[in-house]
Amino acid sequence: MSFLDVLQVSLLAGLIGVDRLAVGQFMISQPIVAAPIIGWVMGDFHTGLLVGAVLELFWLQGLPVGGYVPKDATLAAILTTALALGASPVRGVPDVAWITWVFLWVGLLMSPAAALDRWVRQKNAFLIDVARSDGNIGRGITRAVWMGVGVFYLYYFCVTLPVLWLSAGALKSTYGWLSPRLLPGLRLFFFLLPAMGMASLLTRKAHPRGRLFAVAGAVVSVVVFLGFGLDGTGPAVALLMAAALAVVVEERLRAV
Amino acid sequence: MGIVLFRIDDRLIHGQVVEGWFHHLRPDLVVVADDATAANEFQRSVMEMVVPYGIRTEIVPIREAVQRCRTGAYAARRGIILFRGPGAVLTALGLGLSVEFLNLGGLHSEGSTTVLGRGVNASERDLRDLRRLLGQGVRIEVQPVPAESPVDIRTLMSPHATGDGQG
Amino acid sequence: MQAVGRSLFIQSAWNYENFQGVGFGYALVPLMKETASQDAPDPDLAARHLKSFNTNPYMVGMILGGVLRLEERLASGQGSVEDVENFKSSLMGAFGALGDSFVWGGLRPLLGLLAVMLAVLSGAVAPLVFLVCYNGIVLWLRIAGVRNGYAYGAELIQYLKTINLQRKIYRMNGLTLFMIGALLPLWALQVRPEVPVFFAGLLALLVMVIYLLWKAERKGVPMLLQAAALLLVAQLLAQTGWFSF
Repeated sequence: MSFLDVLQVSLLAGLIGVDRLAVGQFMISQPIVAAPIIGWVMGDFHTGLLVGAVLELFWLQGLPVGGYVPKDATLAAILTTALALGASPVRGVPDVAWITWVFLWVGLLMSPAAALDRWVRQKNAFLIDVARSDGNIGRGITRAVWMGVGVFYLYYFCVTLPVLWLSAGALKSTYGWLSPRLLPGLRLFFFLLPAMGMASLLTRKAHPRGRLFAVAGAVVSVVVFLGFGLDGTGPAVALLMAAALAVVVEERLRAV
Repeated sequence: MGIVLFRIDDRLIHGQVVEGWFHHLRPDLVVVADDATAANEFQRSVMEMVVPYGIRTEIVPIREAVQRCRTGAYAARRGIILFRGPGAVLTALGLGLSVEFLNLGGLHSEGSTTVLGRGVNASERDLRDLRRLLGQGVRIEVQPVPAESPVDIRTLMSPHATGDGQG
Repeated sequence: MQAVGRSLFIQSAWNYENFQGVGFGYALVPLMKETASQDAPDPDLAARHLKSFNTNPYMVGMILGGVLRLEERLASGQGSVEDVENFKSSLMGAFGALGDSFVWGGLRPLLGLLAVMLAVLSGAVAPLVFLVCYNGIVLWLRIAGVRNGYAYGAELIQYLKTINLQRKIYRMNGLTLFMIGALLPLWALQVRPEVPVFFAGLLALLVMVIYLLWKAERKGVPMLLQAAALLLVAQLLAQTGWFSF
């Protein structure tokens, strides 16, 4: 991975991180958006979209409740996409087994990253003093807020840059050592990753007719996609209408 | 089925209860037995707002909650009852409520001296009330959220209990 | 309104000591300047609103609007400081819980699921559609929040009763569960759509894996262990040659 690529991605990562941690929460930082952006910058939008889709489902249920901060799906999406494209052992579209290999490495980094995140937020308490410092009304507070934005930008930048710079080479050579027999397993694992996010979302959804809804969704989906095929918005619209219908019918049934 | 959980929590209904216990126990009824909240419309509205759709909310004085329990109004339900503190539970027992098991989830009393768990800080008065509850045969466990493992309160209070001879 | 723009910065100085406290103070800076130019400025105003504050970032607009209203009343001699404090502290917890289950628990997973479906079906437009839908809704929460918070003031609770977010959450949960079911066949079909047996096998595998993981999650098995087990199972299954692609 060239240093220019590393720098470019890290600068961008800072901006995406600010959306998640500081200003806006416009959800540019969700994997389904962040990964394709990084992919586009690295010259392969569609691999970015694939990574984004899988990670979006993997972290489908990332609830920041109260003071609890969940594992950082944004960081994972940025690092996985950038490394998968930047350090790829082949030219062109990378193998899914390789993307999985990158993701396994990034997954291991998530716990240290979470620790660093907590540390930053603890140190951030100095901003309260900054906010109180200036006699001129509002100036101290404004300064504290912008410094906070800077801190979060730097946090993302400072994690992304060394990870990309240092681990690209090692990832590529360790992947080369893997027996080719292991690669189909990695691909299957990547395909099954969304199951983890869905399962953990299901445990959170208390709904009296939850199973019925899921089964109805699956049945309608099989009918629609085997009937209309996978292309275009037609099947998507049909699905949405069926879902809305299911919700309305269920409510009528409750009322009776 | 009736009441599946009796809980002491000075914040009554809040995120921890909704995200933790509601998901864990799947109740269809939550009763807040607290005189002050029942009398304050603003507080009542705030709490009703947090309860998910499909769960019935009753915010009533202690006396009324006990009465409804005893007349079997909750028999066909799967309910959670919340009290503000150990004193409120004692009052309820005095009014004829029968409680075998009590979950202690949150206390931040004025002048707290003893930490019994995360977010459970008891004052001398709370400790005295808790001992009286134990004396009436109530089993009490400290467990703020279902994800944490429950701790029998006797293991936390024993030094005090032997110290002043009230155990 | 200026307050909406400033409320976007609510998380910017997030820390473990006063959470969004500094961000909340930032949103009130215009008010502080305004009162400072009056005859009898409130010296505690800044200090009062730099205290510990934590709620859902999209719901903050409502509290902000309400606080603006109450502070204005306070400046004109009505109400008390305690009213404002009580308003803030009792609403931030309730709105935090409500906003978390509406946005983080409901809206984001649902739109995330739909975006993934769209990505499989139509490709590149998916991220864009996701951003537009999501921000359309949360922007409404933010703008209408500040406006209604200001209009209703202490009666803000009444306004929330009328929009009935809990019912919307319930409906969203139904939609989300439906869409999880609907995504599974799509996810299996995209791998090798031309071989029906392969599709049926993958779908069955996916359902089984989700069921087992759901059981594990309910028993509190740690995420890392779940992932390791899944990796092992995937390797073993792939070695049989049935699911290799």
